[in-house]
Amino acid sequence: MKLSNQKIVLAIFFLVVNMFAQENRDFFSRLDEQYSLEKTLQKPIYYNPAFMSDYSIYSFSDFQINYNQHKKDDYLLQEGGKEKGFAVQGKSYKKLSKGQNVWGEVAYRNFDIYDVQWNLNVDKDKIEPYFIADSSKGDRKYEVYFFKGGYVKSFSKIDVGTEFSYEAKMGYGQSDPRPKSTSSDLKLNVGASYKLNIPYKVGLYAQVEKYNQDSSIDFASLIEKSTIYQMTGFSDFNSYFSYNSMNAIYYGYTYKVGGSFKQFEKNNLYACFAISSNKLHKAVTLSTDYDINRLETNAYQLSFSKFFDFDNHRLGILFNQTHQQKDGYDIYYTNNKEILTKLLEKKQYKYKIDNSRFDILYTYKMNRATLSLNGVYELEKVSESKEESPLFKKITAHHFGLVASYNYKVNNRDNLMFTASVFQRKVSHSKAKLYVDNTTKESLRNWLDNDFKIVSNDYQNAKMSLRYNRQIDEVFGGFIGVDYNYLNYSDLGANNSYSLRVGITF
Amino acid sequence: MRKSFLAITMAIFSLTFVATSCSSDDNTVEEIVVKETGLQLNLKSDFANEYIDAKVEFVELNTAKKEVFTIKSDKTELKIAKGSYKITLNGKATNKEKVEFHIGASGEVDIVSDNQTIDLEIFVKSFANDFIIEEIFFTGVLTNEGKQYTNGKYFKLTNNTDKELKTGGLLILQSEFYSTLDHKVTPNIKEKAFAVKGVLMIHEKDSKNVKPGDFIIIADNAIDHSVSNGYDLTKADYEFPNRENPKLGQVDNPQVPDAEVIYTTMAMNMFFMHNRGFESYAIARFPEGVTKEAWMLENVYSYSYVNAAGNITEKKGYSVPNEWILDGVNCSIPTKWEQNLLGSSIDSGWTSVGTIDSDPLRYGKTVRRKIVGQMENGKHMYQDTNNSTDDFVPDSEASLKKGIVH
Repeated sequence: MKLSNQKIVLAIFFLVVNMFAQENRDFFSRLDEQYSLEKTLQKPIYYNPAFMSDYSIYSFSDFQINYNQHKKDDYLLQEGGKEKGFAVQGKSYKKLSKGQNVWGEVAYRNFDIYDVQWNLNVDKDKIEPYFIADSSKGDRKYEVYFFKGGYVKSFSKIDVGTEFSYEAKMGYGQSDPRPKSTSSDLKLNVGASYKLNIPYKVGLYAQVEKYNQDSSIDFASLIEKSTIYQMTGFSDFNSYFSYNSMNAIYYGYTYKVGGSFKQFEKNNLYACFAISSNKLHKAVTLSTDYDINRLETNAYQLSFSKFFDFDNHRLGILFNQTHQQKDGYDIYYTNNKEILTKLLEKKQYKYKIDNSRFDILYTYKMNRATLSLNGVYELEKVSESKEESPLFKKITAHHFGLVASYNYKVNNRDNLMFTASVFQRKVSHSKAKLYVDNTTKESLRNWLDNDFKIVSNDYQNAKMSLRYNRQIDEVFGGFIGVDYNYLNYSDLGANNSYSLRVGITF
Repeated sequence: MRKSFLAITMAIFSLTFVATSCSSDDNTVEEIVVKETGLQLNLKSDFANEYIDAKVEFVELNTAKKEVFTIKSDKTELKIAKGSYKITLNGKATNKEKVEFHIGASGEVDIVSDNQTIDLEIFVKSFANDFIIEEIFFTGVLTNEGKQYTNGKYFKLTNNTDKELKTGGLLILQSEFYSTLDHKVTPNIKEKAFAVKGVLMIHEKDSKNVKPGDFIIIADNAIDHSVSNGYDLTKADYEFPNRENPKLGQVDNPQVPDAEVIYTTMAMNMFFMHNRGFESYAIARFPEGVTKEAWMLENVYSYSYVNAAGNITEKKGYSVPNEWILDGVNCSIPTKWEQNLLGSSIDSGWTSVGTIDSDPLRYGKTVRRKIVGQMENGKHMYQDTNNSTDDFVPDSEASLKKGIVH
């Protein structure tokens, strides 16, 4: 896949932003802020680009190359088994003069996933359950391009910001059936914030997202062709279009608005909310395009945090609540008329996920080191069902976790960052009827049974990350890092992954 | 202000958490809400007085879900989900004199409102005391190189009666349309006549007598195809080789009389069966005194339909009246079926080889009629209810796998 001219221009733009994002500052302090656990947990604040004016007291730029491998004993068949690939990523945040800030990100990922089954698309999370699917296992190659850029300007009491991002993805297979999917995801976000007389500011933002995916299936063999299914949830599929069409187009818009309230500078208190609404259409092509499904997604997110400082100690509590509901519509056609004609729409699919997460974060800043400890509890409730059918799935899971992060200044030039975490998922309730009876195709039953075993199984997850940073001169630094992730299902096998990264920071 | 804000925020997040954690885990059994609508089914018949074991099957186009109802009277209230349905009816009925008939019907309905009515015209199935189609081999085979070998196909016709039958004058009919693509042609004449694109004829000069229970093979063509993984058809009774198309490379077996292609829409006078089974086939005889020319003169079939581009396509062909037909078999593919091409009185079902379009497992397999017992002479008696869904075994092993053995 060759980069289009548009993508090259965008890549150059963001690289230029990176190059100019240089500023003298203490190496350890800058890394300490940039990679702090607190900043990771406070991500919802910065959904409003107007709040990016105080994202960091330092300017920074990173450029890294990453290689990763993922081995899986048990996995969701639609996500595939073993995975390996590399990524190149540049990221930058720059404080300009006159109360202006810019930031940007550019990334390219190239990776292979093996043994993908019942999924011939890309962007599983966006289109689920309306996949094009088949029962054979296949290997896929993926390429992903990502660009993001933002700008915020501060006036006396008002900050105005905007952010634009674009992701293009391609996934394809080289053995029958040969899927080829390309997707594009374009986001534009504008926001404003207002400084109150007390040391808080309030903000509002609005985001519009345009999504497209174009998928088609080809066969090299003229004699043998497997069945391609246009899935509609669980083991159901659109019977007419499954056997008559081997392509699909997905398109839709998401609208999101949010509001935030935060203490500026110290971030000791914030609260924010966001609501979003999406309509995703699926169409297939015969002699003309036919819309066959529509997925309507409504979601909200609430976040809150409060931090307390005691000398060099900082203690914070954070709460994040998300809710997402998807309603899926099947569009029925009739061929009882002269031409294939739309007959009616039926709301047939429902998916709901609620997630409540509590974090307690303790940070201790020493002269040469920073220690952070993060306790996590997360409650997750998932339900999925089909109308006019007995099919359903319900899962309640509890996640308990502890994350420890230690950033150590070896000397003025050298710095070590180490993060370790352990998580336990405990499923307290799981119940499902995944297919009507044994007349459902065996391969479909095997898929649904396999995936339910995985999502309803307890697991233990341990992660470790070690990164060594060295300042080369006043501007440039280099780093090398390794990440390891081990996940063990209680009644199944274990999965593990590692990644190696090398990069420069300036 | 600062304290009150904190208090409000804490209250919101506490309420949210309580709402989330206290919601029911829903251990109750799921309630299935099927949004059914009322459908009034009216059976239209001049002769039927009472319906016996009549079953009507509704197949929904978008979901392929099947609903089967037992019908006992000419007016029945059914509960069924909204959708686009194809309907077939099979069973028996009696008239006022308590005489029993096999009946069939087909139809289609789009159910979009809560109360709808559909009228279904009932046809009496006709059974000729003549040959029946016992087996059709239309799929061909794959060579050792994995290439399609399109010759070596055959029709097997059996004398399922208790009298000797002659083969002279038999016609083999190939449907004009595909069962997998319903053009909604106007006029639709299938309950009166069978639209054909090919007709084979066994001439009187080549007639032979066939004893009860015995069969004849009409082959494409009568040679040994086992070199190409096909079957040995050298002992076929008739063949229909195509000598005009050099690409087929077919040779004539001079020992075996030809069934003449008296009509075909295909180039180079070919009679060529669809190897995925999209077609229907029937056997017939011209009535006494009717010649090929007379048939063609009297049975022109002009039809039209709206094509994919939205324009009107007009065509002209020929049809064979249903009264002339002795037996017929609708063939299709389970995942592609859209219509039966034969009238309900001839075949109100359909059979198949393979489950999907271009099924790689279909090669070498046939459709074969079920055996229901033995004749007095020990030969097989075959099931014939004019419902090939019941009468035939799909995906059968070819009966001529070991050659033609009577």
